[in-house]
Amino acid sequence: MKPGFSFLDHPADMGFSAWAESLPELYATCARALTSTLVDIESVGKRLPMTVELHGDDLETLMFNWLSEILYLFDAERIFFSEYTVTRFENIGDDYHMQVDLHGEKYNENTQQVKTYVKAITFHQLAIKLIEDGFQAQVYLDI
Amino acid sequence: MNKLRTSTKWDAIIQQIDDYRYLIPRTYKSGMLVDAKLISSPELMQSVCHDLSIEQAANVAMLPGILTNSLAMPDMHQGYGFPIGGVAAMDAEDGVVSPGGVGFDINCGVRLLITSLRAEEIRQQLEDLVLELYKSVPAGTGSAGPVKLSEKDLDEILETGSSWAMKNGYATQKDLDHTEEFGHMPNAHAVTISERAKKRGISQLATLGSGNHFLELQRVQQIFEPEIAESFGLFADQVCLMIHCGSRGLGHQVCTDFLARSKSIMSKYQINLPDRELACMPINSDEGKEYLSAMSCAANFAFANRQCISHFASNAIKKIFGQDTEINLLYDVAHNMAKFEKHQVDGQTKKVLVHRKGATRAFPAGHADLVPAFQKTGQPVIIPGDMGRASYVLVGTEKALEESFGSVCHGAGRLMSRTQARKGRVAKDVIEDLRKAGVIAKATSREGLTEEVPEAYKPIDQVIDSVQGAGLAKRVTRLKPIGVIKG
Repeated sequence: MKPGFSFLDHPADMGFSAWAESLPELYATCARALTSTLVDIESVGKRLPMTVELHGDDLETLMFNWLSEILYLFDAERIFFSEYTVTRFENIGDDYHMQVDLHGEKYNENTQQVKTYVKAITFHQLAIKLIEDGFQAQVYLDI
Repeated sequence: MNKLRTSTKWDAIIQQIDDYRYLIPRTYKSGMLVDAKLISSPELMQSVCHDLSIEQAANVAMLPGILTNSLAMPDMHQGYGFPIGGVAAMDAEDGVVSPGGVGFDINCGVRLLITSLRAEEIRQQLEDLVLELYKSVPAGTGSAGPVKLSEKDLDEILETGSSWAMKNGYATQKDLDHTEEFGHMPNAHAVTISERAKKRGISQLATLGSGNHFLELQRVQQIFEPEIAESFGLFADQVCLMIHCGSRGLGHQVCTDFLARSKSIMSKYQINLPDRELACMPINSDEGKEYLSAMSCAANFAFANRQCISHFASNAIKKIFGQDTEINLLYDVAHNMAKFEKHQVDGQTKKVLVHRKGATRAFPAGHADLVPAFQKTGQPVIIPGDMGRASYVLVGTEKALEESFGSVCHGAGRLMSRTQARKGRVAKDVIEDLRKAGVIAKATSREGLTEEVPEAYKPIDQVIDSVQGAGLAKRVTRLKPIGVIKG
């Protein structure tokens, strides 16, 4: 299955559904879906590398923390990313942990337009489930 | 009484009390501690019954320590955890505080500046004024605010809100007197705010943000209560400026920080709820106190933010119409907040924590928490509608104090999703349609503007009819938009 995502409707806000063959790929795809909500991802370069580590006490919290991290890096550091590679993904007991290599660049307000400013990631109907040929996630965003 | 018919499951569950009140009895589902009461009208209930708002109002009725009713106002629509338009008062002794019940945009709110100008006098310069306002208040993303803050400044803003603004020349004592909580939430300790929240906020003071946040020039179109209007300084055809925004990235991060920890906190206090966005903790626990302090810091940032925006916007107006143009703050209300207040519960005065998630405090004349200027009239309640139709100034009533913990609606409430609103519309046409309706519009984002088309909102007149019909507030004036700046 080729990883992908589609946007979902909400009366006041918006969300997305994403799918992939493996969990690491699913988390990377959700990151691309979030970035595509914020900006035209094709306009984002890859010159700036970064590595981040995330934890969560279940898969949903790990997703919440992961997407909140991307949003933080945009809102506080003004960086967008176009490439996400999950290099480690494990869980020991209740600790879900992942390490991700990101490639992106600083937001340039002269050449890029922010499409939708996302205030936050929500836990509203946040779900990660097993599907026939992989995994599916559903995430709603506060606009 | 018009019988409610929505052709949904709710027709069999809802008990209709009168034309403006609907009850979801606590027997609706297991775990509800109180009934959910909806203030609405048969017309407005039609859309409400097709989204999750009623289910969410019923879920809120499960929060430990909730008193009397879980309430929802006529602008209600589906939110996250709480419905937007939700009000819930918790016992201050053994109730909970819910970060989800305050929301991501802590102390999102509205204020109304009133000027000595008449709309008719400024018609020729309206376009220049909109442009000048647009230049003075950074909107959308990307732009840093005009106030450079040191870390020490930021901490002081977090702890003292608009008092910092006054100390630094951005506010007067009168501005503070005309702001809910005097623009300064107590018990706000900057140490309870994460470095991440501070980093998001430090460059964002005096910025508008985006989404549904706006600056809107309006004119007083209709006066319903001449004596109260006069006492507020409102007159026919007067130019006003409404400002709608909140605590920016700083507030969003505070909520995010607590939601990330919510699973372990809820499990520590053995609280089980059907929706993770209802995350909550006992008010008197360490975590509850920590959240309330962090929330108060974010609320103070929002008060200072709206105050500083007022400062720069007032300068823009004076630049065009002269330094002797009078500009006064009528009032500043918060509509995403949890606050300790005293209310009558079962005939006794009780300290409660009132959560207002997309709802406005509306205290009546004579309330002890109001400054002398509003003792005879009641607190001005500022209700934005949409950018094409109207907004309102109301005053609260004794009935609101008895029935809804002194709360009313916060706006029109969305009717269409953002995707629906965008469908078949382009920004150019939206701007042209508004111009034909007498409104000059400017926005940083094309998508943002189309998502905010007037039709995306419930008709504000119907929402106001419902709160007035229910006796929770009185109309003072109807305001008509003439110029709008969207983030």
